Amino acid sequence: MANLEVKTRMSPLQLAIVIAILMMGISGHVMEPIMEAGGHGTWLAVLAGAALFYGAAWLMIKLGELFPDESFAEYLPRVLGRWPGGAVVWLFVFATFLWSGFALQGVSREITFFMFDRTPFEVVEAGMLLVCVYCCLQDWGTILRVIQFVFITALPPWLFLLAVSLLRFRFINLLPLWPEDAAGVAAGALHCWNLFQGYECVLLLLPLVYRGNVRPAKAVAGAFALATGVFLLRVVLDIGVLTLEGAKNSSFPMLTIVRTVEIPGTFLERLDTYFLAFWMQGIFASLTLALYMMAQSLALLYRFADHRPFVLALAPALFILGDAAHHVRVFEWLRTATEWSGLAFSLGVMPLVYALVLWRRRSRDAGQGKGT
Amino acid sequence: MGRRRRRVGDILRLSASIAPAALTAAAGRLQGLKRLLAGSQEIVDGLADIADRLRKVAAPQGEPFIFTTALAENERLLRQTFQDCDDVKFRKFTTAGKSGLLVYLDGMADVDLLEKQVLEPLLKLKEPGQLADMETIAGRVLTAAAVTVAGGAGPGVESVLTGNALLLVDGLAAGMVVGAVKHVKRGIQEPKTEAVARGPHDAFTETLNDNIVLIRRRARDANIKVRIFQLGERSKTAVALVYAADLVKPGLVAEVERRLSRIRTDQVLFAAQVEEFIIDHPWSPFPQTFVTERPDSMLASLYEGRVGLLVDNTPHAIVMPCTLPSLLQSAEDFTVQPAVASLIRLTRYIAAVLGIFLPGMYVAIVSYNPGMLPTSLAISIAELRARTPYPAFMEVIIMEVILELFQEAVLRIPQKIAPAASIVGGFVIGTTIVQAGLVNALLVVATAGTAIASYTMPSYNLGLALRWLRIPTIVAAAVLGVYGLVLAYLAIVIHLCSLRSFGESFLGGVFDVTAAEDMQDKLVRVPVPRMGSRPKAFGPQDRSRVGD
Repeated sequence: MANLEVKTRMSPLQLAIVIAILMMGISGHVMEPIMEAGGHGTWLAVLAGAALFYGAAWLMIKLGELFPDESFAEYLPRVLGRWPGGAVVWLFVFATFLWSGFALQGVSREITFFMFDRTPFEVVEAGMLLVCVYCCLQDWGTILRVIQFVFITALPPWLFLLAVSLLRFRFINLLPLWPEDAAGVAAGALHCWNLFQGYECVLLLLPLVYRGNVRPAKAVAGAFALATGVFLLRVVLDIGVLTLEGAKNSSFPMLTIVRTVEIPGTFLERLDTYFLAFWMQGIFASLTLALYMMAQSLALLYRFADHRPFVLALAPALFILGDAAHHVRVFEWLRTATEWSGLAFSLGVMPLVYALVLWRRRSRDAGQGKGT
Repeated sequence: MGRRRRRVGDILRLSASIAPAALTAAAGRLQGLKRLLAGSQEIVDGLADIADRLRKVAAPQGEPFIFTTALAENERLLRQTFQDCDDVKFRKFTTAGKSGLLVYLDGMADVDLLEKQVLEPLLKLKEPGQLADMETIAGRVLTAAAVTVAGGAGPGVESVLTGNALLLVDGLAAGMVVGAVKHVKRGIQEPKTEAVARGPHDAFTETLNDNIVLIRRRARDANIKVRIFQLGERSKTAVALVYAADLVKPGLVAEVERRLSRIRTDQVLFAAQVEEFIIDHPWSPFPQTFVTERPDSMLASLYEGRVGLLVDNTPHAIVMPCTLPSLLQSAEDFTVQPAVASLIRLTRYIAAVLGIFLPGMYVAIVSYNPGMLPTSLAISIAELRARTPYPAFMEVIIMEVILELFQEAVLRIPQKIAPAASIVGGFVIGTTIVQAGLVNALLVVATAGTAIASYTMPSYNLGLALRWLRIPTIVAAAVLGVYGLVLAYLAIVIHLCSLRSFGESFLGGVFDVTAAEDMQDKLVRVPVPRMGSRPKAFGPQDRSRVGD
């Protein structure tokens, strides 16, 4: 069937949307360690985290620009060698896989807690995963359109309902604004990886972005700015409504806040259900993109023409991981493992790869200069 | 009787004078003669068969036979082709010393025209030189405007069946088709489903030529091209492919032609049949071509860079590619103030969502999440529900079945009693079903709201798609409440995003940040002077509407 529409390209704005939704989709249950470390300086930790991880994203963009029209799964085996290159790709898949399983379990807990009485969380997990797999089995053009659809239709009401929670905000709870523990803020910034994860997709999607007036680095900066704004709003609301201790001890602070909001006139109640209905769409978009990124990376690494077989292979494994993480200890371990693997990939391996590539290029250029 | 007896007597006398041996020999000869006669008959049949086969070999592929110079032979073959077709008339005449034949279909051909413009000049003709060939006859003798020389018998036979006349003259191995179609047809009337208060009131009819005229009359533009194909191996239905040559996306016309050429069927009776052959996803509930009965809508679509198909005997045009926003547009939108039109359009989008999800929302909220409602309403619903024996899911299914029954009944029954049926459905059953305690009053309101929402769709087929989608959403809501409803919503969104109509996204420029400029005529409508560009979604060659 002839396909007259070009679907293998995307604009920098679309890249920004993909990254923003990846970051914001799953941010409901990752604040606790940041608050634990950052205390009243959590807002500073979020800002520092944004700067830190934008730096990591910027390095990835720079690395990608050295290999135009190729994704990292294609150039890494060539640059580092087949096995080391493959290992880096697998580390990316592993980090994304852990994060997805953690997110799936966290989300199913919240949905089960706020929407159902007796429905097992496995059913909730399976339902979400089923829709994600259905979306992932489409071509990239379709997935991108779904992501934009969700971004345009679900994000504004979600943000609106979040902002409505400001009705319960008390400024005094935020004080003191400036933290006494700078090391805690720094540790909190590192914990922010779970908030800002997803920017790694530039390694995969950069070759698809057509060069327009907006450079990819600027588009990614825009996505970071939007996500940071939302996360700061979260921090302000969590501490401003629940107090720092309350937020740290609450399993689901964001939904707890929204639940307590009462709109004058009481024509709507239980805003948390409405909030969840919109937020679920963001979660779906994030998980879909994560599943696609894993499948596409493996497809490119092993030179498959299509990502779909990997989607079908990864989905049951993701379900099993999400199911296993229902135990509190496993869930906590998963959160730590996710964070470490993500940090190792973003702040350890990829900067090293970039440095190596730069060093090799300079050596080669120097060698050519001597030759001439 | 007496003569027969005499003849028998003569034979007896002759046999008496001939020796018995000679009689036996004569009997043997007689048997031999009979065998010879039988053999010669077989030879005659065989020769006729060979002649038939030779004639078939000579006829080109797909032609039943070829015209010969012998008019009698041509007539025989035509009569054979039209055997048992009593409505086909054969009018013989003599012109300038030669025999002629006019073949036409009674009731489909204009007999007055044939008399005045064909028979009269031919009967008055004295000079045999003017019958030298068909071109001469067409140029010097006939006064009819539409004449074409038919070299093969196939086109000649087909033209007769179309309503034209076939002229044959002795000595000429060709026929001439005289355009004389004149059959009973419906006049141009108001649109049945796309009527507007302020705007053109003419709609397509069943006659292809009239439909093409309705398009041509609106645009004196040589770039509007009309190419006619025949579909259906037996019905040979005429299908016109219409497009604006300087606007249509490169490759689109070729793609439509390719899909049309792949149609293998004996008959094409409706445009919908053609549609099912050429769309990408025949199992999807969503309509994937834009169907209109308004010539102005079709022309507007052509000027967006789209392609139209007009199928003979169908008073609707098919336009492709089709997008969801185009299905939610109405011609009325362009005859009212832009602000009003925009509000109406937004209402339609909301109606589309309600048309799918309202019953599911009822089930989800009542069964799983009653806390979403204001407390007073939740208590009131609980009170109402206490009087009904069935779970919410069953209640909704009962109402859906009744609604579908009513819709089908109102469509099928004679128009005169339809209002009575509506009253029975709307008032009597709507009230009594609540009084009987089968369902609660709120559900009747929700079901009625759903039905009204689906009736607001400008596209009938889109309304049907909404009706279809209601069922899986009700099931999803019954299984997982609001969560199930959101999952169903996402599944529908994914399906919508995956749909392609002739390679273009079914969602068109909506929810695509790279096609933001298309929003001028999508969810809202900006004033016409501000609609300076054609939609990007259809890939027109020239995006600018001004300065072509």
